[in-house]
Amino acid sequence: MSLGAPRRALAILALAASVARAETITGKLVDRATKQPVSGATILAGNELAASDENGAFVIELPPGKYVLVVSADWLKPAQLAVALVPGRDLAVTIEVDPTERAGEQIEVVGIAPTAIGETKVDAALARALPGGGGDAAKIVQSLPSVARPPAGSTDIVVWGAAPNESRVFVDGVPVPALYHVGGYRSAVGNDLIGDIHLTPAAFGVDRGRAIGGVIDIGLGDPRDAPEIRAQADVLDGSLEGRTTVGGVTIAAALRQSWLDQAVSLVEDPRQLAPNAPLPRWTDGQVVARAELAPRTVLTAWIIGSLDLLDRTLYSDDPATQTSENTDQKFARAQVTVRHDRDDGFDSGTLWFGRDDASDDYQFGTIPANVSDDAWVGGARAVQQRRLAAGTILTTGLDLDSEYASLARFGSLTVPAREGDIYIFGQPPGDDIAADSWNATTIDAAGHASLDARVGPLAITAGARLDGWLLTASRLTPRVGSTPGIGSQQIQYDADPRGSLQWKVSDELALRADAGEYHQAREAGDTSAVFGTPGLGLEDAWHVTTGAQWRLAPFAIEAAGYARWLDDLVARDLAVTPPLAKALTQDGIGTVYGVQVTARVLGWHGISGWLSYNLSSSRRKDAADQAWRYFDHDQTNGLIAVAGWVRGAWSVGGRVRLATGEPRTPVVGAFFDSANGRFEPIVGEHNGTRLPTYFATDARAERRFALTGAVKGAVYLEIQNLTNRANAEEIIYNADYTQHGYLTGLPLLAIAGVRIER
Amino acid sequence: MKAWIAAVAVAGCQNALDQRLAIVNDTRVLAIVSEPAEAKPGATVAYSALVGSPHGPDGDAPAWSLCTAPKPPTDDDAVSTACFGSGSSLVAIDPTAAMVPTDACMQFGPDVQGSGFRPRDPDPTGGYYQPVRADVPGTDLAFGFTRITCDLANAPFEVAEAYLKNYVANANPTLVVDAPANVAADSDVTLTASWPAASAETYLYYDQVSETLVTRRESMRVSWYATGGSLPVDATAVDEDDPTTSVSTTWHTPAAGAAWLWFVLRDSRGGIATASVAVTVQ
Repeated sequence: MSLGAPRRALAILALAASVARAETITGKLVDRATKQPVSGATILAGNELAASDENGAFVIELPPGKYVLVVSADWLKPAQLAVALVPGRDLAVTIEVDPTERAGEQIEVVGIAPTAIGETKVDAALARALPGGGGDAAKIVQSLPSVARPPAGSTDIVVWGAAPNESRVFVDGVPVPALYHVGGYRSAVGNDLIGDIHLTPAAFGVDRGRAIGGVIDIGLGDPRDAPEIRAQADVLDGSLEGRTTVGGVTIAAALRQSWLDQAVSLVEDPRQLAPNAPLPRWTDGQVVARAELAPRTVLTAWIIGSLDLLDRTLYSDDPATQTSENTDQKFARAQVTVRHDRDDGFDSGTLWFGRDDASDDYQFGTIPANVSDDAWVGGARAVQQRRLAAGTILTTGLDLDSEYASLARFGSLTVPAREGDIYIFGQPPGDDIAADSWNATTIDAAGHASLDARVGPLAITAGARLDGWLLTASRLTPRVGSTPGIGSQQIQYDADPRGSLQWKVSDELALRADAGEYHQAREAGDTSAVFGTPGLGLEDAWHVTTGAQWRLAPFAIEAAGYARWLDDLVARDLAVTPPLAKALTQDGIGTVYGVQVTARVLGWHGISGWLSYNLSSSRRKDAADQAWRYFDHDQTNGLIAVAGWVRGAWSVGGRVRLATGEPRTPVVGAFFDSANGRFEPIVGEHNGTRLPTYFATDARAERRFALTGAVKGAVYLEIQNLTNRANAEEIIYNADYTQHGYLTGLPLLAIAGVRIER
Repeated sequence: MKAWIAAVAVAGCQNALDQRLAIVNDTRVLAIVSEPAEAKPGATVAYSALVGSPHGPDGDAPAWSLCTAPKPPTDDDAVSTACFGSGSSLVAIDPTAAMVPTDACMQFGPDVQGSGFRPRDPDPTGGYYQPVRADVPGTDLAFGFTRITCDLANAPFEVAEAYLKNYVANANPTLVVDAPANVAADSDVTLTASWPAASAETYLYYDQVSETLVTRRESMRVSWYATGGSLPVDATAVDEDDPTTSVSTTWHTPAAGAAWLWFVLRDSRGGIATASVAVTVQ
């Protein structure tokens, strides 16, 4: 039996919050009628809270004494069981529960209260119901605390001052190259089959590597929870999802196809649209299968794929300033995971592989910039978690992550732009043209271990990740004729200590600090002997977070402070004549400091959401002799309020966002370039000014209804930028740079859609 | 749904600042011509500037100087910031007989001091350029360029040798304009700029991808300027695979009075030709 989505999130949350005591209650929830396990329910005993996992199991540690176990969930009739804990003896119980009658679709939310500092986990059903994403679950990432306001049309995710390429996106632990489709309208990892979204903005655990920023984990849901069939359509795209069971295997599949470009072309010439309103085409599909191989042993396998195409031309009165862009991006991933749960932990093994193909062809007047990057990727993960003693858990794992990339690049050196480039909107890139084609290999074999120990009110996690890296590039120097290339090959090791300390001051209040070291390899695209540096190695970061978490269900408040020190960052060599095959250096450094206060509510009278304020400073320096500058996406102040309210057949939500504008480099003059017949800017202090403050409000409403039999339907309307505020996205200039204004984002925008499912 | 689409659509129509340069509202440099357009280091070249104003050609003689500081390859600007001020990176010159510095291919071209440095990258036509600055009182800084003939960098020996032997330096194009001297006010007038077929020269180009020499043809681009009225476009271009040798545009004339038209023809290798036409609007 499956009553609602599995509540692994709450189980993890509850386990993390529990404090080791003398005795242990191990229990199992089962449906009274079917005897099947019941997952996702909460169990309260004394002041301790636990949740049943996929197998209905839960664990609570308490001092000896008499207790009443109170079982609750929206879809269960309340149940209680009185127990007595005797000194020196653990207790095993089985509790039978009865489901309530479910009335239509319910939005069940779990786990948005944090465990690690700044951590956020959101159930996909809640994410879909909140405004800002047009019903797309993973779009909620852009509204989470710790995430900077993304520019319109951007797919970048900036968490706590880390550059987009410093954070990593995983689907069930498998890395994917992009969370969003080109244009940022939809997520590239699907929607219907997502189970939850989990963001750790800093100081993440030892099980994740190759990132010096944050980690975003997209968890695919249990296919058994998927509707038998579901169709959804709005102005952006349409999707179809289905589920079936073959023997003991449950398979769910989803497919989504965009039609935004065709829809817009019905009423408007797409060529008239602004550069911040691209009209890409996207497709994504997912197939997820689950089978129980043996009692407590589950196999899950999935394949996901994403396709993006974007063709656009920004027409100009002068062909020398006309620009065109052709983007073609694809990726696919497949993975198989076997997990076996034991009474004292679990064993899990994953094999995955995939393919990334990306090509971007730009033309800025006569200046080309073409980049292609085709890569085979693959890896394996193995994790074992074992309870060594009461309150002591050892988690060990192996993590192999590999990439073989074939790359080609032709055109301007400054396209694509890097973090730290001085960028003036509308200015063509440098017309220095180069070409290269090369291969690069990145293999990271890692072992990790962490020990969780709970002693009285203290919970300590101490761990380490040992990475061995093989980094190769096919050419150490630029290609000249048929001269055989001498490649670059290096083996590096790093040992990253990571840990946390939590002091549970009271049942409601906990103080916590996390710290760790992190490494990530240079990107394959940076290893060109012409455009980059073949011998680039590892970038390094230290994270420290600290804070207080107050939690009294269904409310939680967190005050967090965080710092990040970045070293060995890949940056451009700004010399007039850089050394051969060293256009990039690893002389970049950076610092991030910030504080964040977040209040969350989970299911209080049907209301869930968060209010978060973030104050931060992220600055970087590309070389020792350079001045500190603001990080390109630095946002000093960020305020986000998100709330969803579910009542009966209705759900409504709202979002308010306020953010300091991103830094930009001011133009202080101009000169006439006779060769091109245009003016070019003379710039001031690097990132010395900012865009105006951003403010936007969004709202969403959904009405669910029953059609015939088991068929249900829903209609929804989302309105973004409710106040129709003209938010500045870029500073624009007139032809001779004597005047400036702002390119603004989209005005009030309404997305209406319909969903039908059985 | 339609409302949303419309909302997206209007985003393209907002915030437009004037991106036009065709109407000369203030005194400014319209073109700087290097004669010849391309020269070897040590050769002598002459520079001239076409300066327009709302009242016609500007008579002030520019002050000329060579910019001797190369820009970093990561800089999108065409000229080093060191040449914006008045520092040692500027060398005053006689515009009628200026020598291209003998180290121009080292400073602005692919030559490097040793094998341990990165050769400078060429422009999309394979060229390298010596900047020259013209200071016209009351106007923005203006830079012109002389294409410098340099060896190929990072090319196979036999390709570099063939290039050195067969490459023909660029020459400035010849511009012929067709514009009436007398026009009616508030009327549409066709302006035509043409050039001999030979002005769109063919030239050897080193293709960095195939590492071979290929023959390309210059693309041509005409910029239109007027002291008043309106022009539909700032410039009209002819691609390198298009044999067309003339382009036209329509000038909507201003109110009665004196007016000036300027034409600037640029080939893709840095060659420039200019023409000025005085027009009486009646």
